[in-house]
Amino acid sequence: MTSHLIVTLSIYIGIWLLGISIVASITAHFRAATVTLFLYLLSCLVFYATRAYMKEFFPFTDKIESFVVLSVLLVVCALIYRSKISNKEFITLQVLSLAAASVVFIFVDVIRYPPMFLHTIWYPLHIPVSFAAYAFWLVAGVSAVYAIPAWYRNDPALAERSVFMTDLNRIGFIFFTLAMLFGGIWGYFAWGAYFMWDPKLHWAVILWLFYGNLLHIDRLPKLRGWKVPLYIAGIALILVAFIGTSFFSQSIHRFGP
Amino acid sequence: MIYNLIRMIGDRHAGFILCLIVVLNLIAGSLVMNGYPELYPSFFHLDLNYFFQPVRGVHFWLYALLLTFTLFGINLLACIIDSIIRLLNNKTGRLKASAALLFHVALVTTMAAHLYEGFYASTQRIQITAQGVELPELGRVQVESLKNIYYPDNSLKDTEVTLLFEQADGQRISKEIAFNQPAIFDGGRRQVVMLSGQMMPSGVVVTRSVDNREFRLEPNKPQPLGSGNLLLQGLFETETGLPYAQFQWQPDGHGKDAAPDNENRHARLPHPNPDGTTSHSTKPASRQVAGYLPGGEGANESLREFHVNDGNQQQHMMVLNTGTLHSQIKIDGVLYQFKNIIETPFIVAIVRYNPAIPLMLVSLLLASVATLLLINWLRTRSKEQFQKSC
Repeated sequence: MTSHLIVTLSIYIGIWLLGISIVASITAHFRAATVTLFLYLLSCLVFYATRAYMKEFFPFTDKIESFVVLSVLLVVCALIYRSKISNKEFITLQVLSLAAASVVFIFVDVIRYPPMFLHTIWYPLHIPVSFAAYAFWLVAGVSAVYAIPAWYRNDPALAERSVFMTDLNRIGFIFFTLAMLFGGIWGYFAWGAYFMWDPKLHWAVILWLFYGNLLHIDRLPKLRGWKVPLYIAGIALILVAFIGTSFFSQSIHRFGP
Repeated sequence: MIYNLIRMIGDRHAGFILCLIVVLNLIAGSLVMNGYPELYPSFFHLDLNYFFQPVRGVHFWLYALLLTFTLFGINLLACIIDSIIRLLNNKTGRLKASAALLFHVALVTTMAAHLYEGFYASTQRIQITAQGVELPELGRVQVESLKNIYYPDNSLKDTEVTLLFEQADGQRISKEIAFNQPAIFDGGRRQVVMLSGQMMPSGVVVTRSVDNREFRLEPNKPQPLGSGNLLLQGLFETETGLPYAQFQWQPDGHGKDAAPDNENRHARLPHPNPDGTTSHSTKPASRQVAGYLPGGEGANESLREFHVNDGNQQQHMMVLNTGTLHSQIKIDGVLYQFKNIIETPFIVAIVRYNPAIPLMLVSLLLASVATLLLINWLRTRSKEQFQKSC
């Protein structure tokens, strides 16, 4: 009972802090916003530590934990790249983070022990790096959205942002490659196959090929103009790969009720 | 001349477009698969033969995917050769170039491995019981022991199983398996992967009241008792979840003729379904014994009629709950009391043969080294940028 209370309180307080941080950012109190974001991370640490204690396992096994981890990683990215992103991007990332964390208001939080197939070292290795990749790619996507005016005007200012997008993509790509490697090894031991015809795995390949391909675009003069639209399209691909396959597909990776 | 040809085939613009087409093909494939779940089962290993037996219009995305992947693969190969030549000529930027090269080689190797696996791998879903089953290349396998481990809330945490393999040359190998811990043979090419494991009721032990002697009754094995034979017809469950055993008593002179016929008609025990559940299994994840058949022949739902006389043969029903009413039957004037259920372990497993495993291991190794090189390059670059900014 006490543990449940700590979990609920920590995430509710966290969401409040995130809200305060957004308001502080909008009103140009950026130092306060940064401090509040660190407090948000602290409350999420309590949230995950308590869940780990209750589950006796790595606490990224249900939909609420998955969404909150994405929220946390978006905040981490926003803090890491604070000096490189505009205020608008900073606020957008916080809003996205708030949206991800707000799933606690949508889904009933039933804390269960994890299913038997998750009891392997490959699972805790696979999940965080997958979400880290999503977060870095989403930041690149948000950056691309704010690059639309410069892209439209063919502004030289786009060059710096373009380098930033590639850097983010490169880090996301490393994380996702690791996720694919760990996931493949896990699949081999758990289901006898590193790849199956499953929507989630299908979309993992789609994301890896798409973003891997995008790493080449700077060296292709005839196609460089597509960079911004493709990074924006990447946001849609991530949403399908994460939300679409987890809720609206026949995948064995689909979230349970 | 040859170099120009390589550069033409390995054109990076063409490679980029081809990769985007592959992505679009995969998106189309995922939508089609999601739209036709009856054609694409949810636990579908990489089997490319399936898409050609027969060729169907709905599989268009796969045919297009194979074509575009082939073109992309050729482009990648040419690109790799070009990159090797450049790498040998250039003295700088080798770290990043090597990482990129290894990623591309890993991708081509992975594609080749998938193709090989897709046409030559095999997957068989089977039930392995204590009685054993014959597996191709692996010999006879049987479940020697099974232990389910539970969380405090009774949900399943793990299942530890010991499998005994008896190969054609008479060699016996014992393998411990569990979830995420398959039995692996032939350098990883062959696997027995457990999907679920449970205990299944396979008979009953009854005690004769006059001398407390125990009798093990199993289906298809008439037990001589006094002046006849007692045959266990099956283990059943009423709609209210009450488990019971159904017996047939065959007095001497009838049993010999009746037994073979009864074996065919009546010997019924729960059998696991392919998905790992058992027939009419009510609580597969709980500690209770899984799986009884729904109401047996001669029994009504409330089990009020516990003794049916059918000429010389008699049917008896025994509630499988010690100490309760109707947990005993009277045969030839002697009382037999239910003692316990005989359980036998079984698992649902995937037996998989994948000859592409060594190729995939090479790919795994290359991708891992490439990732490490890329991380190292990023680290070096960050350090340089930091020094510049200072």
